[in-house]
Amino acid sequence: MKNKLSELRLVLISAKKQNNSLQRRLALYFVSIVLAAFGALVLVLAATGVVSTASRSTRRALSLQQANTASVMNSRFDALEAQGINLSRRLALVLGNMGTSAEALNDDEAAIARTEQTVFEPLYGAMQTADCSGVYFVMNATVNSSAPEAESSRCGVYLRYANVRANNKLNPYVMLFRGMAEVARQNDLELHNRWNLEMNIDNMPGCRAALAGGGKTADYYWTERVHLPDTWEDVILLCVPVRGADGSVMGVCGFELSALYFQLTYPATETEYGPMIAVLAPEEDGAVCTADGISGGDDGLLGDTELLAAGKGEGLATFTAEKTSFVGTAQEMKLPSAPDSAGEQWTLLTLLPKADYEAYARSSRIGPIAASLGFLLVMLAVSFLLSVKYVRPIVSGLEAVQTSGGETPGNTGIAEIDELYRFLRNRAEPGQMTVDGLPAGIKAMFDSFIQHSYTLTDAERTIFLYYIDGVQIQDIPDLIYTSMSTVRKHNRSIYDKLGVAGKDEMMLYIELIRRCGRLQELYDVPPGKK
Amino acid sequence: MKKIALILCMSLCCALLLPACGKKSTEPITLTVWHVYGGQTDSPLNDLIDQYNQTEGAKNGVNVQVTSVSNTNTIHEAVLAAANGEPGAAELPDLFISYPKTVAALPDKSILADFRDYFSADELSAYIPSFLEDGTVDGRLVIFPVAKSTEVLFVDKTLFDRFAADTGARLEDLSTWEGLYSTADKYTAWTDAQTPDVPNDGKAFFTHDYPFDYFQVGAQSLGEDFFKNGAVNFGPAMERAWDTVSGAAVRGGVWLKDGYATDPMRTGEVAASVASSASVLYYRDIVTYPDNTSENIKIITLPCPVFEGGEKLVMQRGAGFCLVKSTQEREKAACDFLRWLTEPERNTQFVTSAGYLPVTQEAFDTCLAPAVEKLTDEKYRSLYSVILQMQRDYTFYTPPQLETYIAEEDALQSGFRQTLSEARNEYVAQGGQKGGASAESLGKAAYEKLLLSMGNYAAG
Repeated sequence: MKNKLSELRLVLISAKKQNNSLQRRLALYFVSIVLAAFGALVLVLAATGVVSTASRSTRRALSLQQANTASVMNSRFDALEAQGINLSRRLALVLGNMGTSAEALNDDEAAIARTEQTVFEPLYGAMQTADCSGVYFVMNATVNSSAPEAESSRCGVYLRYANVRANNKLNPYVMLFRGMAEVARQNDLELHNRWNLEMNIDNMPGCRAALAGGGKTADYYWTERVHLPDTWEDVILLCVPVRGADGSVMGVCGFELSALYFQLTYPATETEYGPMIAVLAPEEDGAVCTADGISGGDDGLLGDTELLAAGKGEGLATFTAEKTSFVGTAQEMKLPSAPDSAGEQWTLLTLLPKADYEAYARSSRIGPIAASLGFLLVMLAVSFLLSVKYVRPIVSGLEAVQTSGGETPGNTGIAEIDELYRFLRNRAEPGQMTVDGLPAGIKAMFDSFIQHSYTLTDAERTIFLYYIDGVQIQDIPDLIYTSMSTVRKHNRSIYDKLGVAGKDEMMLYIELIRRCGRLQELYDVPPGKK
Repeated sequence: MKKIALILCMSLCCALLLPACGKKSTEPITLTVWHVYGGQTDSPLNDLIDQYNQTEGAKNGVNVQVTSVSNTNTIHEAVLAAANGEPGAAELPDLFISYPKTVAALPDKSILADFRDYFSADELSAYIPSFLEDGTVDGRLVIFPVAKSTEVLFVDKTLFDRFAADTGARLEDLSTWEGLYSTADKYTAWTDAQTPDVPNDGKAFFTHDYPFDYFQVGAQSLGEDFFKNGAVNFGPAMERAWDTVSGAAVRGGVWLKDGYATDPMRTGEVAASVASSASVLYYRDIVTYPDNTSENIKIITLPCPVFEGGEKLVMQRGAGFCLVKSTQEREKAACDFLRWLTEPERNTQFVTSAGYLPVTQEAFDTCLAPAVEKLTDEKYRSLYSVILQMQRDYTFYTPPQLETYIAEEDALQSGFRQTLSEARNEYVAQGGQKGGASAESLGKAAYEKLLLSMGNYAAG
């Protein structure tokens, strides 16, 4: 890492001095490094799920499903409640016309049979138009008040569909679940396999209180889940009191929604997030009691357990059952409960198995992870490529510059660096100028000076050499046994032949030639020139 | 350069493949089923289906969903309505229980898959050959045997014992039709006598779930072909069968209303019935009277009665699963389920909880007897001891596959009930006046009416 950083520093330095094309390449290299770092950041964010949208999209989907289910369920329940009230009024009318009162029916088999036969038509008719799996009417009377369990036994008619499907209106197969066998025979119905003569009102929550009629009774209410005795079926019941003209309660009527029917009406919706399950159940203190409620198709996932609502995590509420956990949404449903029930709140839940949600969240992260990983790898590859082709030669060239100890390094192949190297080497040894380093024009001048020096006469040459040795002009007459005017006459000739203006210029040339290392050429006259 | 290119390619591949790893496995196949096993009671088949969904089904991504549990009549009507495209008809499920007669009545049998496409000859050899034959229509195996049944005589022993104590009637008398109807006469008289103030309110003793079978098996057991040219053959044996029952019926000893025998048994309005062995699931050990008092009763099983001097012949019934054609994947999934369901041990466990017989030789030979030993419910123990006895002593009769079967069955059964009800009403209206027609002659007159209604004339 440290090497990389110092490498970058060197590159930065040289970049400032290099030509444009190299700068562009280096810029590209930097960009690729930056993008790789960016890719690494995105990868980390994607892997840790910080930028995951799974929670948001799941919550949206659940809310949408919930809204749809709630809307459909509300309108169905509303319709059933309205139809239940209508049925109640119709039964009250029919019974009123018969002049029947519940008390009068007690212990009167014939009267009960007549009454049951009379209420059969309205019940059967209501069943055809209602979105239900059964219909019933129970009266506050029994055929035999001294029979065992007469205390909870009440006469009435209860019809159920044998072939329950989500849409079975036109081909109904109705069976008599409760009521006199004669009613079945006269109307060409079979007895339900678990038929009994009368209803046990202890199995119908709130019924006893509703039949008693005293105090405040709700206009209608829905029971919690009830198990139909000796059958494999559970139902919830709508209960609507049937009031006589005097306001007294003659009986209770209503519709049945069986768990099977509910499952078929609200099947588990397969989505990309997993199966979404609808549950309608009473909630108490944060716990949803599915055993007392009714659920849509659940592919066997739910079972009859209590669902404990754990707090919101990632915006989704979690519901933990005995064996599985779910995420989901919940909302209150305005379903009136039995007056003597503990005032529970009905809740509609849309649930998604937690395992499915987590799998979805995982798979939704895979995309960004893979993409950012791919991007990172590509950027690393690009920067590696650029490094190999363009950066490393720069760096190794620069390193060569730093480390070479006077030996000529190999050609780096990068003109600028080679230029730089030469410049630096010359600067490093002052007074030392290589022959090869001279500009061509200057070399020609030196060559000319040296060649012209060969045209000097002996006497002139002697004086010229004394000047090269650094002898001053006033000392020259004594050294060559002549006068100063003769020396001056020789000087003028020397200056003309060498092509210089005066002594100063001549001394400069001699100095430069010395620095070029060519001084010896002035001493050595080639043969033929003498 | 090559190295770089390789790295680039690998990273691109990863980017493309990784998202696929996180995807959900393919969605499960949901197969819908209509069946009859259990009706409104706790359904043994529903439990098995739950078990399948949680084990084998979960492994193979198959979910079997029961969308209707009723009886064969309902399914029969619904299937024909769907096949005929009647308005309001439900869509056919993937699998439904059916009798050969329903398949025979289908307008287009090609909507059903041939199980031979999914079961090898080797696999099929494990199943009882006659059961496979029952399910073969026009050379195609379209009804897969799952459970077979036969007909037995159920008797409310509690009621019978009270009756026998007063009249000396014997269960042995019920081994023949003649004995049974004579007992019915006694019973009617006995029950009538219980309410001396009310004349002619004697109760019926007996009902038959499928009078058509009484006549069919009866005639065949007396050596006569029941069908001629696709129609009921009203020959001497048929007439004998009619005469045997009609007197008792006119006198009120035979329940003539429509519907299953379990209804009047439940209300104490009959004391004995011939029904499918599979009805055992529907018979309850309790009778509830119109005054809301109930009585626990004991129901026992006896072999199906036969005609004196006739062969010991009994109907072999039982429906199987039909598979509606869809996609190869779904059809294969359905067949895997049926394969699982009819594994000998599992098949035996299911059938013995519902009054059926298993469908593979191995189940019969090795699993049935031990399973019967383990039965705790008296009703079931009684039933299976009789079934095994009948397996030894009786010959099983399989009805022919005729397109006209259902039409003939409906006509004969409704004719039987209607003509004899009218005769009964006439008999009651006579009120025992001297010179009134005897029950037998009224019965014969009813037979003539039946012949007319069925467009046949007795020979000679």
